[in-house]
Amino acid sequence: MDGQGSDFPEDSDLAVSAADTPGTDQPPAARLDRLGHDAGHPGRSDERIASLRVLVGRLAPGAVGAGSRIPLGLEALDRALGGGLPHAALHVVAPGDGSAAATGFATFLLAHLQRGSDGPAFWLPARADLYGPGLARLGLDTGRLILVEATRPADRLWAFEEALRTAGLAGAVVELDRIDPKSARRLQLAAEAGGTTGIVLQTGNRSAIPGAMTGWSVAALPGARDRNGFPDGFATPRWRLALQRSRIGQNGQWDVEARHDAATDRIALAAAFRDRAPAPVMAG
Amino acid sequence: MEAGRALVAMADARAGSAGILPGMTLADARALLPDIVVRPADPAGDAAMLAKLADWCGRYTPWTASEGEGGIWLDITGCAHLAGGEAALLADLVFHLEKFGFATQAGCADTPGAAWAAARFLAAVQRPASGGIAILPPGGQRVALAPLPVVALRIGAADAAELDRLGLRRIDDLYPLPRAALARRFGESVGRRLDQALGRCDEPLSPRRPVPRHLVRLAFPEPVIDQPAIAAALARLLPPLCRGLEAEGLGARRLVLAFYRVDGTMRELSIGTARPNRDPDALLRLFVPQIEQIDSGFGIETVTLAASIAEPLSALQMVIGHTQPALQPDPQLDRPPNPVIAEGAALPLPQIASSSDSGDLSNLLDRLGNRLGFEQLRRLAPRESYSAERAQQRVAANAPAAMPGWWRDRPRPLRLLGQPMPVSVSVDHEGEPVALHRGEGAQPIAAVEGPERIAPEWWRPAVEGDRPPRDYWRIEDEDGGRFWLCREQGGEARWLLHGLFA
Repeated sequence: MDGQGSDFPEDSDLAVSAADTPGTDQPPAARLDRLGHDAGHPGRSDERIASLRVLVGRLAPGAVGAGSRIPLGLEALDRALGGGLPHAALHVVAPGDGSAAATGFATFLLAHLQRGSDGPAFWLPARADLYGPGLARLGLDTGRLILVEATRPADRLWAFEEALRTAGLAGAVVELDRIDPKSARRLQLAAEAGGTTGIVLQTGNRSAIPGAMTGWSVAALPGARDRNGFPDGFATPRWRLALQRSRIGQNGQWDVEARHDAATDRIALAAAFRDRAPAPVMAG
Repeated sequence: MEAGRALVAMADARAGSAGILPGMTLADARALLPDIVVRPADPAGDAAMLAKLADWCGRYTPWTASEGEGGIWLDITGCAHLAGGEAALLADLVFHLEKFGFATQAGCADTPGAAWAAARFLAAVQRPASGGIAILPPGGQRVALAPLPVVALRIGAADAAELDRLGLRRIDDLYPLPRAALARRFGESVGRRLDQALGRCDEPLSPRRPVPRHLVRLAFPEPVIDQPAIAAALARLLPPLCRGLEAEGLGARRLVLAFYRVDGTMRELSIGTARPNRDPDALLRLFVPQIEQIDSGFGIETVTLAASIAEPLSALQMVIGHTQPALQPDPQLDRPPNPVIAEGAALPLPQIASSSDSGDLSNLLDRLGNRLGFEQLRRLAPRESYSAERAQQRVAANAPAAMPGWWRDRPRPLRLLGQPMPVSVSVDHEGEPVALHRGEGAQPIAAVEGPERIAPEWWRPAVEGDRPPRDYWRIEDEDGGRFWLCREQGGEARWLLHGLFA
């Protein structure tokens, strides 16, 4: 099984690379099925599953909980993610409605990544419509942000991969609507190689992007009212985060708000309580 | 064609020896030589071809220019020794040009005027039709030019006819004349041409292409076609160029690699960097994607590498410029200095690391900029302006642009539409928006903040013009979608959607 060493051909899909034994011409899925059924003993199925997990882990490094985590500051969310957002991996943020909430969440994530790194952050927009003051309000340091304004999606994909491979960056956000599975795999490997966390922000078509470590759908929620009854949603936006696809934790849904903490001068995520005054102490 | 008659513009040597001269009518020419081959004159095409030949002559010296209708200037000061001396250089040049099919005469002298005369009048003495070379010894132009006719000084036909009338037919007839008398009769031009030819005064000429200060050249013993050889030549040229830059404390911002092919054409490749760089390995990596697109034709004979733009780069800047060390130690940096390559030894092919090995930010910017264009790499910088669109500007990525504190003063949208979109809004009796009509149906507005009046900058009539002031409202609909609307004041009072909040 290990005769091929730790590298497998870059272009191969995960399922195909399970074909370690030469000369086997059965489809890989059937072979995995057969492994599971071969046992016959109920007690041995656990061992089978464990050995399958090990096999998957060896074939796809980073798939099974490897790598460090970046806590996002909201306890329930971090617990579901198994400690935090996986570092040096590919994540997808898609809009859950027609608003710019997904952009807001991507901005928050990039700002969070920026705080943990000295290097610059990259954003590869589809159109030249990012507005600095708005990004700044969500905690992004635009002085350490570089935009790569490539109009063609193929150029954006290439530039994103180059950025992921480069060590020393805080993170990168690319606006792409669809990525084919082979490219998604390459992006994940590039992120691991360069140690850079990458976020794909889908702006329109919400086709599934396979192979990402986490997949989010973000919709806007009506903002809270402050203690005087005035709407506070512009200063403290509220979102419904839905973790829909995750290779490392369980899916879930959380209502959060991005609140400015005057003491640390940061934007932090807090649980959003509807129809109640906002919680005075924020998590994280 | 002139006034309905076909005139001869140019005739080759055989036609010329039969008596066909430029200016003669075609009918007369056919009478002299019935079986001449006639082609329509194409001055523009000829000029273009001459320019391309002048570019090809760049394989001898970077200073080349086309001259008139059939001449090429080459300034070979300091370059002649690379070709084995002036005589060898000119012989090689004439040999190649004759191979391309041109009748060629070449002249070499201290001054442009003397060289011009030597090419047209002295070289033909050796070999009248083609292939003549005349090299005047340093300082020998006075003696060499003496027996030539006065037109060899490049004076106009009228002046030449006038001098002829006065009995001044050879250049040495002009030597003893007092300059004042010459000036009175002919103006400044004749005297100046004489001084230029003899070297008493300067003649400013401009090369076709700017001459780079740092240039290295490699000539192949036999024409090469394949890409590994070109890559190896590039790897061999980069270290001496970078050493030259280092000696002056410079780094390259733009490098141009020029190929001189056996068919008389020149091709160029160039790369740019975001910051001055004199690391040969990094610069080689930037060339790699373009090397694959080189068309070597029937072979490349000479290759030159020049730093067309160089900027100061101190050793300290090079150290600070690296943000973080690369994840894996770059094997290229650890290898010993280039081995001295003996004459005739096989060139070792360079190990060109793939682009994924680079961990440096400026290398990333260079790769992105070279493929997408450096104008696509941007930062957001502030501008002191109240107007929403003008509060931010895009600057080049390698310009520092700190985020100003005042950007966070007021709530602003994440996305600002380039062109505000007209929308229809229903208002209540106080003028506050209550419902937004987008597409089908009306969306009631749940929360409103505003108005915030932003007036155009009246002191900029050209940019803002007579745009009416706008009242900006932050609105939130029932589902939580947050928008930035504005209402123009004044006559039309239309509502526009200008931005999206998170």
